[in-house]
Amino acid sequence: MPAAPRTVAIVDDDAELLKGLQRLLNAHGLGTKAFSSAEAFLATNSGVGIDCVLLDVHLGGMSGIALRRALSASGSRLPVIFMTAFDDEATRQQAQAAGCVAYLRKPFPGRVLIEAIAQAVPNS
Amino acid sequence: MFLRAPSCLQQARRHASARSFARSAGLVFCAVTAITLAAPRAFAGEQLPPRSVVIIGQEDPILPWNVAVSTVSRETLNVAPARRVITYAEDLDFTRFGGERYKRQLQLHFREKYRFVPVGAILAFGPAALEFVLGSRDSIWPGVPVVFGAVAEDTVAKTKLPEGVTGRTVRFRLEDMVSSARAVVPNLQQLVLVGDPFERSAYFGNFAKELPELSKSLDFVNLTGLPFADVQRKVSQLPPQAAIAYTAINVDGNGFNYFPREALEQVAQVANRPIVIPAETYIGYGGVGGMVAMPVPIAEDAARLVLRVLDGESPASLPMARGDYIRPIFDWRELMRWGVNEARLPEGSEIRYRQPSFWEQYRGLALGGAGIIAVQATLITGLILERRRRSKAEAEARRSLAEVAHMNRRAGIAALSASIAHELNQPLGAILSNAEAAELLLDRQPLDLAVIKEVLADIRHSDQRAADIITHMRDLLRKNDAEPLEIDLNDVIRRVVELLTPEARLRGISVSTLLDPRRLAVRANAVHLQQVVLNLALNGMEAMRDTTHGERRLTIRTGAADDSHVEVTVSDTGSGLAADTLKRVFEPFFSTKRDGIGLGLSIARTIIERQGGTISAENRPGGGATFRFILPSLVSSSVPQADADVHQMAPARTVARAPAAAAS
Repeated sequence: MPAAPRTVAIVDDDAELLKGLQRLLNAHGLGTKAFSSAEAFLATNSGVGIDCVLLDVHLGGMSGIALRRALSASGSRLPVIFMTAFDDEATRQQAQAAGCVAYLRKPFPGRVLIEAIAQAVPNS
Repeated sequence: MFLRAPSCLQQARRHASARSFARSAGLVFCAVTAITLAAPRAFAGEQLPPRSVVIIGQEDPILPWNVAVSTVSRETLNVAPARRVITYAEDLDFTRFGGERYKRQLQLHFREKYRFVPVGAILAFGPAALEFVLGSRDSIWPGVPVVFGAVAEDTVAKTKLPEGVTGRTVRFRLEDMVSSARAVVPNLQQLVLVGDPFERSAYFGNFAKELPELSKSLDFVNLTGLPFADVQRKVSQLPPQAAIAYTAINVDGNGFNYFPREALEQVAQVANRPIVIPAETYIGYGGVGGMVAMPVPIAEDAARLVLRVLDGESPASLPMARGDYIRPIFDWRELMRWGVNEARLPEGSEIRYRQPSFWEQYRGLALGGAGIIAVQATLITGLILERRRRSKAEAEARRSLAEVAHMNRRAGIAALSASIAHELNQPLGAILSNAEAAELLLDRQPLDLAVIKEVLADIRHSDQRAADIITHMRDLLRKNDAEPLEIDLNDVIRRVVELLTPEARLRGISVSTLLDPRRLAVRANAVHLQQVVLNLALNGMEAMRDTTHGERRLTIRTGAADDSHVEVTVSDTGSGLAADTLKRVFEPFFSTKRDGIGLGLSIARTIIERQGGTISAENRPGGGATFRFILPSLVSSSVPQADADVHQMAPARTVARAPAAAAS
């Protein structure tokens, strides 16, 4: 049994999706912290107590890609999993260039997400 | 030869038995005079072996495994009723009886018992049965072909098989149990072995040989051969990252007999960790499952080999081979109990006892609904794209305004197709996550129905949201030549903004609306007006392609133009319009876009003018352009209207209105 539950930060501006993802991860025994924007994530000194970020690409305001770059620039090594509801090659390339453990297209099955998290946070 | 009287098959069979009896009696008579016992082989050269088979099992005949193997092998031997095979069953119970004396007595007994029975083949199931048959064949059934099944390949690899013996081996491996345990328990640290001691075990003897190698990467705790009570006590206090591998308990350390499947159940009742098992007949009795051996194909394959031998093929031409009898099978209830992620199970795993619950009915509906929506969305998008390709040619055909306007609306939707897919994927994603979460919640004890209810309500809400998007799009796509009705211009704007927002976000454009708090009533066709606003907005968004990212702003404003007119302006922060463009912008087929058709704005003008209004374009002082249309207002615009945009108290006479998103 892991010593402490892993915590995943979820950043998405869609409240329904945010809630659904939180429930799903909690049901899998993971802790979650939900943020409705990149700005909200940055404002709450977000790296603390988080093992992994599940990040929507197209957020209102600061985009997920921009947040990823900001995190890298500040020296953060938090693993990032991008998700998006757009099926768009350019977005995928941008996300991969920014750096991510996985890139998920909504809607995605929980299995895929859990596997991505397991990859991002070994021994989770 | 049995076809004489098909209506009295029974009689024919009796006749056949009588014949073979007479034949063997004759043979034995000859054999006795010839001192040695006649080998059935002697006449096999001239005619086929007799169609009777002795099936020898090594266990208690009522064990479920044995029941399955002997039933299925008999059925398989008799797949062709016209060519009946007579079967005899001998279950030797070597698990509880053994020793040379027992075997010698069995040999004597069988020699007497089968003295007058012509046996065409021996079918032996299990290593101990095979060993007995090979050691006894010469004295009981000399030269009779032997077919075996359910023998581990290591067992037959040790012994050199005599002539006339073939069969199918099965792979019972501790390694398989380890891999099943690893699938069930991530980060497995310890595997606890429960069963008869390997040296006494019929099928799992070779596990002992695998242990040293496997111990390098896993900690084994060997509880085989302990008294049952000790086993029960120990399996109830295992550490978290352990699993149990149960083989079979026939006799425990105190010498008490057990029915292996019942022993499994009793172990499972007290075990605090999941139990992996090696045989299909254990599934459903408390084990979580694993790579299990399947009695049915084992019996079928061996019996089919026997049939080929009976049909005259020599065992030498049927080489021994390993059968494919191990399947990953798991018990759903146990997977849920131990919180096992199905994705971790081996590929192609079969899950049994999946319990349909009330939730699963809802899941069908929710996912089915989502599927329909997805299909609809794909279809609609496909149609749109198809139409768009043809739209240029069709425009040149100069159909009526309604026709062209309709096409233009489709093109508008096509421009938004990526964002419409986005809008559908969001609620679909929420539905899927919630549905999966609810599935997991249903396995929690105690069941929190309140939370599950809440999840279902959210699923319904997301589904409604997706359905609204479809309805919305369909309204806009429908050919709409309806009579003009009294509508609120603000509603038109809200509708269009809803549709545009995702696309705008994709392009990094902020959309703001400044809506007059009063109701702006006009008599118009709502869909056509939405189309005008959509065209103006898309035009503005297109114009901001080269604008710096943070400065792309689209502003839509409504208000009273004068006492009897209302107006809508759509402003962008794009490049503005060149002087000659400004004059021609509403002309048909005028476009500054490389791939533009040049109809959007001319259609907008036609629609507005038809409703008795005017449309115009101008450059904004700070850069960018403003498009404006004016329509005659229906009632005096001075009547205040409570609205969601201004949170003031509603006057008493205000009629409640549905929110824009729900209005059709």
